[in-house]
Amino acid sequence: MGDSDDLHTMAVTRRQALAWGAAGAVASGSLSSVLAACGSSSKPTVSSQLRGTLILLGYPGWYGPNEFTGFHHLHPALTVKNSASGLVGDAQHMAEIAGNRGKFDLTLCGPPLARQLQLAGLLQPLDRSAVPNIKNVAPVFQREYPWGIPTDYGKTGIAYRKDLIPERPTSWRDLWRLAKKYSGKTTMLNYDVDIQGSALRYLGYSVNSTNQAELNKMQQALLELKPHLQAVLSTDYAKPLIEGTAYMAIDYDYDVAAAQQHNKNIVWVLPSEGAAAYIEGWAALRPGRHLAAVWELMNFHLEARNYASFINYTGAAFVEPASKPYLKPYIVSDVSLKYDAAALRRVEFEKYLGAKNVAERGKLWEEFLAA
Amino acid sequence: MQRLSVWITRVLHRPVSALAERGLLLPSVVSAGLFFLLPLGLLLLYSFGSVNLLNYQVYFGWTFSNYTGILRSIYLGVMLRSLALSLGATLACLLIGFPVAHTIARARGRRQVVLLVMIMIPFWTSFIVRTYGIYNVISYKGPLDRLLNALGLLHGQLQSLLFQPAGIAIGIVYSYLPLMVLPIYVALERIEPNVLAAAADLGARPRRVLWRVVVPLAAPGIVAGCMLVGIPAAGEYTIPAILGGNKTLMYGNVVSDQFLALGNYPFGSAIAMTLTGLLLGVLLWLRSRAAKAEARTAR
Repeated sequence: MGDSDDLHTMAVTRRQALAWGAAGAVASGSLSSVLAACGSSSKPTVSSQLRGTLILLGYPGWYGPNEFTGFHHLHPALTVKNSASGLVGDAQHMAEIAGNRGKFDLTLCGPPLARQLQLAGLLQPLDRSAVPNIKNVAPVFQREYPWGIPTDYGKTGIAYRKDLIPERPTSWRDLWRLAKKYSGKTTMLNYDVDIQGSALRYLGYSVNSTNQAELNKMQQALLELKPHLQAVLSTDYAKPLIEGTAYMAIDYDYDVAAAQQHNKNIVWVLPSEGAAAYIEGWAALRPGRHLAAVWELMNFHLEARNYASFINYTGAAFVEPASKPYLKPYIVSDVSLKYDAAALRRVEFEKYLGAKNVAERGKLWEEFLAA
Repeated sequence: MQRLSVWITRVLHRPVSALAERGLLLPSVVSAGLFFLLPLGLLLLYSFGSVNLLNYQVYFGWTFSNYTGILRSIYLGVMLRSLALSLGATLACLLIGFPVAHTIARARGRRQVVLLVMIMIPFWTSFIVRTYGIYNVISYKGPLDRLLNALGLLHGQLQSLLFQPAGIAIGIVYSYLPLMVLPIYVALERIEPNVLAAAADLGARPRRVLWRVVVPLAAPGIVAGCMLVGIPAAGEYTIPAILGGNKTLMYGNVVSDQFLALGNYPFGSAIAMTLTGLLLGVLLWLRSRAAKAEARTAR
């Protein structure tokens, strides 16, 4: 586990930093509980056949605190290492996998990248029969993420300080209006897909629109907003909101939930027009030298208590309702994180739009930042 | 101890053959070739290539489309902004740095050492750490915010310089100031006190001595300082990203986006090569100016 531990202590990603904020210092799941939990779902006969080293390409620390150790105890000849190189964006992520074929056994990725990997012939189709615990995942996420096992998801919505503004925004329209009224007091994420998706919902279009006329209007809407923005943040998204220098923010649900632990005046809003949402999951990669072990690890991850340990540690929105009994109470009840079927009907998951459209969206985002 | 010192001096001053001299140069040549020229050559090669937007693999070819793409207004605008910010930061560093260097050069003994150490101390920490240090200084309710409010310069309303162009300017000037001060200090140190005394004896007032004697003699240091500040500031990436809140995009940010976010290595390489070429031109022009200034000084 050497590499994994090194990455864990040295590399700091936005997800890890936010996860620490969200989850507190230490996750609740102990090694003993993990081991106890996995006993019921793992087959000793399989264990004896599994050996080698699995390499997961994913954010450092974006798994349960004792997960890989627990898995190793269950399968002593098998080690899991986490690699985090090339995870700056989907393009880098894809280039890393394509340029190092066979280096990674599985990767953390969203639907856009998973579909792209599939089209490039780099993805190993999921063998559902080898991952029986996938039944624990809510059907909506299984449907939206057919390439592997969904691990978490997130929505892009509005956060505001109820003590600093008298208005109570409930829609993107409100945000656009109030951002102009309180100029310089709104922040947004520096993630093209999520912000462009939000602007498209504001205009009543699909998050995954490829219609050039709609994209032009989206760009116009974003350019109208830009002079009134305080910052386009790549890290510490909620910091200005917590400090009170910003009154509103376009932010992720899990980040707002973490910020609410620091300031109770922060309110999360899932806009009435709907919102862009992402899913993250683990997908197996070709050539699949350790495929049996990959399925075993995925199954282990989805075991309810192991999964709860991961969510308790990261503070992400969960995809597995079966893990609720083991989750921290605030995660189960938090309006932004809890499993809410009605809220899920109002979000639109981001999809892969094709190479040309991805490049066009990237170009528009660059023009927005440069303007 | 004294014997050792004598031995070292002899060894250092022993005549070496031309072959040995070349051998001594070898590590530097290999290092520059491997870690500077080779990557630069690769970047140049990439800049004429194309990318498969499905898997982001680069194919080498000889297309000029990456260079023609730079002519789009967005990239030209960003380039002009970067050059303007770099020029402004260089001038600010010169205006602040020259008096500081002059003060240090005029100081003597322990005082001079203390002043020099104060200039160099920030270099003992990493660039990122220094930038985050500035982040805290200019952030909401930070020391600068409190001071400006106390002086009534923020109109009585608490505001932050963070995420403002002024914040970026402060960050660049703070980070690069020592690079301006040190070469000017070295140039000023080399001025013979007798030259200044002679100018005064001939009736030149202090201001005239400064402009007609000190500044021309310090010109090589000023040019070196301007190069050390202006060139890296033009490609600055970290400071606008951290202190500018990504609202003020500079050339370095565009290059980074092309490589990291969009996966378009060939276009990113073409942008980087264009800036490198432009700055190389400026560098050569400044070098020729410095050489002329040095020749004048020698006369």
